[in-house]
Formats: sequence, structure tokens, C-alpha cells
Amino acid sequence: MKILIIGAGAVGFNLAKQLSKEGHDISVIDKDQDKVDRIAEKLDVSVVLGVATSPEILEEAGIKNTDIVLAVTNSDEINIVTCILSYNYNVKTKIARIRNPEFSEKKSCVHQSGFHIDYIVNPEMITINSILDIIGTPGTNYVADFRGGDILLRGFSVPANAPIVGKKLADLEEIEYTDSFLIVAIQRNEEMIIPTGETELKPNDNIYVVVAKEALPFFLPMVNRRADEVAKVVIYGVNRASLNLAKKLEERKIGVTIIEPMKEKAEEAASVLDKTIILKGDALDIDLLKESSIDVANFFVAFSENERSNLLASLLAKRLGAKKAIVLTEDPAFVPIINSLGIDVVINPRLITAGSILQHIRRGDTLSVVKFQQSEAEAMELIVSEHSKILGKPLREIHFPKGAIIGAISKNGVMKLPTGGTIINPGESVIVFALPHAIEKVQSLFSNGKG
Amino acid sequence: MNISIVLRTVSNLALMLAAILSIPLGVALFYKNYNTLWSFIFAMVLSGILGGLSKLFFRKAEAEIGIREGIAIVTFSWLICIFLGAFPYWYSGVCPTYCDAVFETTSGFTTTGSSIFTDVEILPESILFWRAFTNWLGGMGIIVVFVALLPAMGVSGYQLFVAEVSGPTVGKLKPRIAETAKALWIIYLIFTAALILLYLMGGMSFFDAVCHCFSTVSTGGFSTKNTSIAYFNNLYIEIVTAIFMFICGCNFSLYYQCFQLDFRRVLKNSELRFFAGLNLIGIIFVVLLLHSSQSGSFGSEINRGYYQDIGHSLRGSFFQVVTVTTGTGLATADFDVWPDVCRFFLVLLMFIGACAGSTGGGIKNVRILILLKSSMRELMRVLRPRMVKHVKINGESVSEEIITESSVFFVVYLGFFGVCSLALMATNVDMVTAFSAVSTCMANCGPGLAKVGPMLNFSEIPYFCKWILSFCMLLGRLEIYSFLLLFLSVTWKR
Repeated sequence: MKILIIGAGAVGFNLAKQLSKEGHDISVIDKDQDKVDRIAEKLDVSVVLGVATSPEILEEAGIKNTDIVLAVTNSDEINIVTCILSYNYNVKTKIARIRNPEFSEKKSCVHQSGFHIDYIVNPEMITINSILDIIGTPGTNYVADFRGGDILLRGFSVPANAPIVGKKLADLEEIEYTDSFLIVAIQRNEEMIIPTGETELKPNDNIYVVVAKEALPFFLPMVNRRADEVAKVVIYGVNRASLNLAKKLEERKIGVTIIEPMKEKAEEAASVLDKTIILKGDALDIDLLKESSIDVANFFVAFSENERSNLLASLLAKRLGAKKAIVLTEDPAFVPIINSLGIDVVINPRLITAGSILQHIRRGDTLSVVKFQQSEAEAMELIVSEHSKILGKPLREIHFPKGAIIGAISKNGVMKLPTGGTIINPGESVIVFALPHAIEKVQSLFSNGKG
Repeated sequence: MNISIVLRTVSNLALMLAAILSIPLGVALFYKNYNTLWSFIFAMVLSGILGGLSKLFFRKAEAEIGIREGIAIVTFSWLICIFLGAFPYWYSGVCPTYCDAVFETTSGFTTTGSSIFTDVEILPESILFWRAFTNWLGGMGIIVVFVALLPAMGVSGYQLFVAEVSGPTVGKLKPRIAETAKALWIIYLIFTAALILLYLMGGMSFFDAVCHCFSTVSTGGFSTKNTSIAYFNNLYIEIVTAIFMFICGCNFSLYYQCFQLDFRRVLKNSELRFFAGLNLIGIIFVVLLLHSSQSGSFGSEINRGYYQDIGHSLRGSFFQVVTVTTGTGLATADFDVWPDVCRFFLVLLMFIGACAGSTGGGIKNVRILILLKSSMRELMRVLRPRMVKHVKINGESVSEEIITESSVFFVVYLGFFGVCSLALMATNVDMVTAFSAVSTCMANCGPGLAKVGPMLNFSEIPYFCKWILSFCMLLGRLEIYSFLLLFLSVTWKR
């Protein structure tokens, strides 16, 4: 497919990198010479220097035979205008990154008509939702959703005294509720293992679990957690996203404290929020952190614009007793560094925006793909085609590639976990977890028989 | 202050009063009360002459009505209405002195409902009608009538409107102030018509229905019977009256929202919820106390076993609590014979009063709610000195100025309560009578305790005290600021 990406920032760069790796033809438009140079240097894509709201530039980038336009610049207006122009060039799919919630909300005029945007991706909403996912799943260090949030993929570190420690996967059936989840991968000492029935769970393993949304509360006790254990969240920094997050947490009856150094922003938060406690001051002030009852907080979320304060405040918060710290960083390069400092979750809005756009454009056989933090392993949601090689046979008779595992099968919104006797039918969607070397084999298994 | 524009505006009001007086005059003609006929004509002529002369004299006055002029116009208008409206009582001889007449008129226009008549049932119909009618006019506010009837006031009408209804939640319902005043009056008229019908269905005579309706929807409290609503001894009438007192004790802008089918906003209204909760808790509290009190320890009605069963306790406390919180003052039971805890509780409810923007009086629920919330905030601030928190009403932040206004209002209100109670006691009125009379007058409620209890009246109070109490009533009705500012030199200086 021919894909045109508008904007070569972090979002555009990551999209271009991933999509060109998957074999698509990519063109990138950006008005910044440095960014264009960088992307041309590092990736096998064609670049055009210029403003995308100019039809001349769009034509130069080959819009006439483009299938998908991804408008991901910083500016909502440029993204909207580009999508409208693309419509006039008969581009089939147009996806825009739009920050202003007045445009991106379901009720907005954009959805009703007019702007010819097929999908709107709001980075703030995505950020908030992934933080809510993490807070809603105590103990998790990785979250990804499939089927619009009905099927969950969650990562956990296994505590030494958890009921599943020392058991082989095949023996897990002795424990209650084990029929509602499936462990699809184990990360042990930097190594990613696709488990078989004989794999034994060890303390401090990082396990990845596929579980239905309703069954999550039943799974959590396996790693010594409870669904309702989050009672207190401390947020540092006031902005549109953090206020939204606080509002959502209030709705879930979770106690929220917001720390904000600027008086005007603190006042704004006080006028928007009802039950949240708002403290004016700097999160690097130890007394203020103590005043916010940080010692009983389940999460400390650093949301401020100042990356340095975010990091320091989170480390301080953890030292003072916060169970987990979530840090937002605008620079994708910082993610692994901050991770290595002992911060539990690092969120880069640009990376997850790119991930969310990828989910949207994988139409056809592959519905969505999520990447794992450090490794190149993927979890993909695939639709089983009518000519697939794996139809009609029980799973145990299929020669399924090593390094890949079926996590869940869903049809018409009902999810089931695979067993050896399961037979896959066309039209069902399957969530597959695969190590890098097995990805291609999996894709050929599910696509038509000739592949 | 531009005094000529003030007098010119007030002269219009005096002429309007002359026109209004023709209504009780008509009643006097209808009931053939020839001895009171001349008193109404006299009052009409007097206000006509006063109004006409000053209008003629100040006809050239042209100036913008600012805050100062607004305050002066409102206060002078009320004073003119009271002093001219007192003439029919005095001239016809039903009130022995002009002081008594002024007290009765003030009590009427401010919707207090305290009376100096020992026996109202012997009064001519026209006088009874005039009492109820002053209630009804004062309920929505004289200035609101004025602004609604004289739309030419234009922008300056707003200053008058704010000066008369100085509550924290005065909102323009419509873009034009005259339209707002009209909308309020239409709602008021609808309630009045509905209640007259309901009273007629309950078996009241037409005259009683109209008079009681006027004093109920205005939360005034003048009755045509010595024993007030208790005279009818009719559960239906009591329930209808209590419901309408409650309705008129709520902010009228809520009903405007109801007509616009904006029910969600109405249900979310903090003051309404607080007011309803207060009434409910008050009723339960009083029922339990009445029911649990040992018989024989107080009052004759208790001795007769009147409140021995829970049904009668409920009936009595339901009506009395609503009448006191809304500041109406109609009564079905003599709460002065109830246990002390109930008596004092009812006085406290008087202080809180009804909702802002209603026809009721008192400090107003919204101010109490703001004060409670800001007190909570200050307590929390002791624990968390750097906390930023807003006081919220209806889910929206209340500005710090309004919080200050509410606290100042509260303090000044209590200050006047203290000083006026002292003044009454200085003239040998006993303590309970004195403080309850002052609190009931300031809250525009009506009945007090002891010698001014619900089944008694203010006739025995010394004249000096009647002047003070009249002052208290007007102070409470104009919510202190407008009235008080008129006596301060800063209002008069440039």
C-alpha cells in the first residue's frame, strides 16, 4: 500500500519506521529541514519538504495514488485541512491526530460530517486511557487492549509467594479460575519465552496474560493482587489531560490529590474538580509530598511539563512510600533510561499515539498489533480468512510455529481460550503472540493457503 | 447621589400605589364597608397628590440611575408604600394609633405576618383584604412590580432589581430586566390562581380562599381567622398550604427552568436540595421530640393527649416546620407550648429562612450553605495549609467575594439581632419574647415565642418596640445592605 505521512515528528517517525518495515511504500511531508533530513537518513522512505496544506506539495508527494493519509503534525488545523484535501484526491483512508477534544469527541461536528476524517486519534485520550488501564489493573507493568477493550493483554511481575509460583503451566488447572486466562509469554532475565505446558513459573518472572475484561478481577489473586486495592492516586501537574484523568478517577471513587506549583492552574483545577484535594506547591518539596499522604498512595503520576521535575518527583515519591510511579515523557529516547531508574511505568504520548494509529490502519487480515516494551515481540489480532491452512483441524494437529502462541479466539464479541481440541473457523479473530522470528510464519498460516 | 432622579422615580411608584389602592376600594364597595371606603379614598388621594406633585416638580430630572440611586429608590419606595399604605388602617380607626398602622403595613409588605389585631374576625372585609393584598404585593417585591409594569426603565431597572433582591444567586432569566420581572410575576400569578382553586376545592369561602392564598404564596402569614389555618381543622387545606409555602420558599428561577423543561438543572440545584433536606430533617427532629416528650411536663394540648399518637405529632410538626423555614407564619398549632428544645429549634430555623430569590425571608439557605462549606474548607486548611479548594454551589465555584458577602451578611444580621433584642429588653419586655420577636421580624416569619406566640399577637408590645420591630422587618426584607447603606454618609457623598 502507498501511505502518506504528514509530519515527521516522533509520531510520524515511528509510524514511518514501523510501516516501511512491514513493506509499505511511505512518503513523508514535513516543513522542517532537519526532521526531513533525519528521516531520509535513517529510513527507507521518500520525503518532501513543505507544508502539507499546499496541493502542490501533496501532489509532489504522490497523493494521487495514495491509499492512506496519516496527518500527525502538531497542529490540529493542518491535520484537518490535509484530510479535507486528501478527500478531494480520492484517498481512501484518512486518519488525523487531533488534540482539541471539541473536535475529537464522539458528538463533535467532525464525526457528523464535513471534515472527511475516517479516524481521529486524540493523544491525550489515549494517554489517559492507558494510565486508567494501568491503575485499573493493580500490579501490572504492561497493558494492551484488543477488540475495543474486551480482551486484555496484561504484564505482571510474579511475586515470590504467589500461588502460581513453582507450578508448571499444565498444572495450573488445580487452581480455581485458571480457565479464564492464558499466560502467553514469560520474560525471564531479558529473555522472552513462549511457554508450553511444561514451562515452570519462577519468582520474579514477568508474565504476559491474555484475559477477558470481566475475568480480570479473578486473575489478580494469582499474582497476589486485588482489583479494588487502588484507593489513592497522587498526580503532579495540572493540564487538560491530568484534569481529565482526575475526573475519571473521581468517578471510580478513587481518592485523588493533585500537586501544582502554579497558582492559576491550581485554581483552575479547584474549579473543575469536586472531591480531589489540590495542593499548591512543588512536588520536589518533601513536606508537601508528605502532606499529600504520599505514603499511602498507590500511584504517583508525574504529568508536569518539566521532564526533570517529573523524574525527580517520582523518585522522591517512591522513596517516601508511593507504591508505583508513572512518568510521562515527551521524548521517546528517554523511555528506556527512565525505565532503568526504577520508575514502574513510563508513558510517551507520541509512542502510544503511533501505536494507536497502527491499530487503525491494519485492516484486512491483521486487525491490530502491539509491540512489547523492549523486545521486538508482537501481539497481533488476526482475522482468519476462508483459505487459511489452519481451518478445520484441532489445534494440536496443526504444526504451529515455535515462538508463537494463540492467546484467545473471539467471535461476535465472545472470547474463548484455546485448548488442544479447539477448531478455528473462518471469520473468527485470533490473538497471536509471536517472537520476531515467528511473525512471518504466523502471518502465512492465517492468510490464504497459497502463502 | 442625584436626589431629583430618585424622587422622580419614587413619584411614579406613589402614583402606581394610588392605582393599586383602587382594588381594596372596590372590595370595600362590594362588601358595602362604607366606613372604610373613605379611608381608602383618602389614602389614594394622598398618594396621588404626593406622587403628582413631585413628578411635576422633578419632571426635568434626567440622570443615570447608578448603584447609589438604585439603593435610595428601592428603600424610599418601600418606605413610601408603608407610610401611605398605613393610612387605611389608621383613618378607618381599626388601628388605635398610626404606629400600630405602620407596624401592620410593614408586617404586610415585608410578608412577615405579625399582627397587632387581637381579634381579626371582627374587621371589615376590605381591611382583611388589604392586609392579605399587602402580603401578596410584597411577596414578589414592590420593585419587581414596578420594573415589570414600567419597562421604560430599561438598563437602570437592573440596579433597582439588584438593590431589592440582593441574594447571591440573582440571575437574569431573560436578556431584558423587564422581561425577567414579567416572567417572575407570571409564575407568581400561576401559583396564586392554582392555590385559590385548590382552596375552593377544600371548601373555603371565596373570600377566605383569596386572602389565604395571597398570604400563602407570598409566605406572608396574615389570616382572616384568629386561629389562622387551625380554624379550618382540615388536613387537606393544611397539606395544600404547606406544599405551596414550600414551593414559594424555593428560588423562583427554578420554576422558570422547569417551564423550559430543564429539570436536570433543577434537581442538581444545591440550595433546593439543602432546603428540602433541612425541612425533612427538621420535621423528623420535631416529630421525634414531640412524640418522646413526657406528657404533663408542658402545655395543655399535650395534657389532653393531642400529640400522643404519631400521626398528630407528624401533622403538627410538618406544618409548623414548613411555616417557619419559609417564613410564612400561618399556624395550625401553638408551638409555644411545645418543649423548649422544639421552640428554640424553630427559632433557629427562622434564622436560616428560605431560599434566595423566593418570597421567603431569613438569612437564606444558599448563604448558610456557602458558610457551611467554607467553614469546612477552613477546617481542612488547618490540616493541609497549602490546599487550594473552591466552595461550590450547583457544581460551580463560588467567588471569594460572595463568600465574604455571605459571612459579612451573617455577622451583620446577628449584630442587628443582638442590638434590637437588647433595645426591646430595655423596655421591660421579657427575654424570650424580645429575642423571638426580633428574630421572627428580621426573618419576616410572623409568630414568635412567649407573649408573641403563634396564637397571640403584638398588640401588648410597647410602641417604641413596635417601631424597632418595623425597622427589623424592613431590614430583613431588603436583606440589610440596601436599607443600611441609606443611613451611611458614603452613600450620599460623591
